[in-house]
Amino acid sequence: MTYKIELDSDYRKNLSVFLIKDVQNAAEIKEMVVKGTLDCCVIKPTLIIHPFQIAVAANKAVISKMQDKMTTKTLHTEILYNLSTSRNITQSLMKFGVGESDKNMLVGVIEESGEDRTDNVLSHFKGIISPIEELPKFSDTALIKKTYKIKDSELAVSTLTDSVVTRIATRDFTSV
Amino acid sequence: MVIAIGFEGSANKLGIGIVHNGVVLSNCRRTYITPPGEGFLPRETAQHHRSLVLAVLSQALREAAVTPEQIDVVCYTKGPGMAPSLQTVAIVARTIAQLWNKPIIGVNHCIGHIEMGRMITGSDNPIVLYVSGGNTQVIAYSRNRYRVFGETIDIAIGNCLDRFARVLKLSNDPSPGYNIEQLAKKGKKFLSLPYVVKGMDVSFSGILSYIEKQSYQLLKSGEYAPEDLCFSLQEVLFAMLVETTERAMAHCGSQEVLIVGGVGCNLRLQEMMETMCHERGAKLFATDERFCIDNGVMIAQAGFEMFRTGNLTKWDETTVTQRYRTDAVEVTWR
Amino acid sequence: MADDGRKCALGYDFKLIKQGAEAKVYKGNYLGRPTIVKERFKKSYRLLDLDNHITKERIKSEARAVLRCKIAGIHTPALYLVDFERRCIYMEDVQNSTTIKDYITQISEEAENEAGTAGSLLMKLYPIAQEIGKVLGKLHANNIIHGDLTSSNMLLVKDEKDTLTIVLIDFGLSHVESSMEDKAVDLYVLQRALMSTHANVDRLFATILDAYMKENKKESHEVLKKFNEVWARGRKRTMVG
Repeated sequence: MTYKIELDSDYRKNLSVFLIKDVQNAAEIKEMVVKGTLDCCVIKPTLIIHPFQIAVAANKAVISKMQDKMTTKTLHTEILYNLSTSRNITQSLMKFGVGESDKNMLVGVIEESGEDRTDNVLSHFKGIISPIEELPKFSDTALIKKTYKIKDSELAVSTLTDSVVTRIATRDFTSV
Repeated sequence: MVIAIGFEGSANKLGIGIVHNGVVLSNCRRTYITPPGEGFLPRETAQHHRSLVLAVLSQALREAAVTPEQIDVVCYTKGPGMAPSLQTVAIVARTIAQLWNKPIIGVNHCIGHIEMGRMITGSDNPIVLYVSGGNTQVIAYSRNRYRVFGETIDIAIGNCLDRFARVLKLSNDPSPGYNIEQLAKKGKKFLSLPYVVKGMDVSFSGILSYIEKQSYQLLKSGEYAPEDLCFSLQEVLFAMLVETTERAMAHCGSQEVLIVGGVGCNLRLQEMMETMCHERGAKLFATDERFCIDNGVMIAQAGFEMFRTGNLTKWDETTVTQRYRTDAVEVTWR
Repeated sequence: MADDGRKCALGYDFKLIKQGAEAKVYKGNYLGRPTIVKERFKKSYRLLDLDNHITKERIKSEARAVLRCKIAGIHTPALYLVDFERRCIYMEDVQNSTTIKDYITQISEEAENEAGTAGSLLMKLYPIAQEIGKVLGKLHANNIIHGDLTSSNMLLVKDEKDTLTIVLIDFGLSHVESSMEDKAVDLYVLQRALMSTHANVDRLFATILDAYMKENKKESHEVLKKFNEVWARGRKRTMVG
């Protein structure tokens, strides 16, 4: 139903990922996130094949933050940046982040162990919270393959998720 | 109770030694030392050995207080090595074996080092790092062979060090490697050099040509002192050796390392290997210059092992050979 | 700290399962997935600068090679995190796998118990030899040099239908190279590794090489020629001193 996993246990943080469809207040949400009043990451579902993809990006972001090595300003922009194959921050945020007219979104909330603020975060969204299992309805597999440059010959030896996360893990020092 | 005499002359060291059931009775050696900047050549080396062999033989017998009658087996280096010098020494061995009517055994030089190392240190079944002017091998014993796990794919480490010593025009007395070691102790500045490990193997020619090319400029500009270059070269070369040894240990599940061969005398190499062993909970065995460096006793010791397991050499096979792989010998004594 | 403990998550959530020459390998769960963590430890026998440099290069080479293999259509574990500070790679723990080394040992023991001949052992190993050769052929056809081919660095995954899948791992010494020499050396290293670890497997390598030739058709002639050269070099090295 919901996707919640523990990130790197050195830091004791959890990630929860929610799928929200038919969002009416995208512009408002975007503004709150940019301002920092809404503490979550908002992602376009078309480019996400599986919440694990976000987990890998978020995990990397948390570790970067703790090691004082983030490339972007906030944890949430760092997640979007990590999802991208490009090292251009603005492009990455635009590509993976949500626009004012987007109706469907994935929301990632990072909490300290024991914290419980997801309900609070979700309350700001004027949309329908759907089971995360419905993500495939919104993922654009062809677009994901194109964005991450994954050919069908690779998919004979790897799942799409594995291919995507491997790229996320190695983005900083490989150019594919 | 077997008394074995061993004759070694595969390179520039002439060694004759006598061993009695694991006890060294005498260990005599003469080294052919060339002027700084020069390596030793086959013909002159053979001449050197020829001129001294009989004197060294007398000395060995005298120091051991052993007569020809008491000798049980004559052992000599069959190979590998330089043909002329091997030949010179082999002729003497063959002659005395016939004169004294004793069995004769041709010994593989590398195995001589290994058996000497095992005997002197008491190590049981170590990974052997054999490093000298002509050899760089990581050896493990398995199923009656000393199998070469890793080796240099081009030149030996000793050769690499010796040639760099020539570039710096260091003295060859007592050995170029020794003088590099002394200079390296005073080195402070580290020069980054190519580090080449390929699987279990290592490659030294790239590093050598790199440092040969760069050294003139670096020394001239005053950026680096000879001490720094020696230091850097050792650090990188030895790190490569320690790494490949460690890989072999991990692959074989071994907790013992034995270093043999002339370069094994190098205290920095021993120190680095000791550190690695300590971190793995393994034990390092090393010998000193009496036995690290080519000597006759090691030939006698290996010969003795072969003798006691009935591994004699037929007369028409008492030849020498330049190329003789360590793993070509069937180890009948383990 | 104690043998497998550095003061980090690895000590607590993961179990140390192997300590190789270069790295400690841990097994556990990470981000909800069965994960292997490869931690390259500091080598205090090396100068610090040299050590850091080598470690970083090896981590990069390994990670890049894993991705390149996927792109080339070769099975490798998925990567979840590459952390230079911790000197760790977190990767997929390939399920239902055994190393080729263990597999050969197991089959060899079975063959011995059945009082089979070396020929029957070869017959049993024939299918994986074919697969290995094919995978290596593909590897080199894509100019990826593994750098450390041993039977411990190849995993065998058998599924319910008995399909054999070879998964390559341990790419720390890998690099991209189109030279025949490097490809020949890559194969030579494997041959020696097989010979020194397993008995009676000389013909196993011949089978692997055969399958390799068929897969890497374009270069097979050249690589074979170089391979024989490298092999002869090893056999004929003059060893003076």
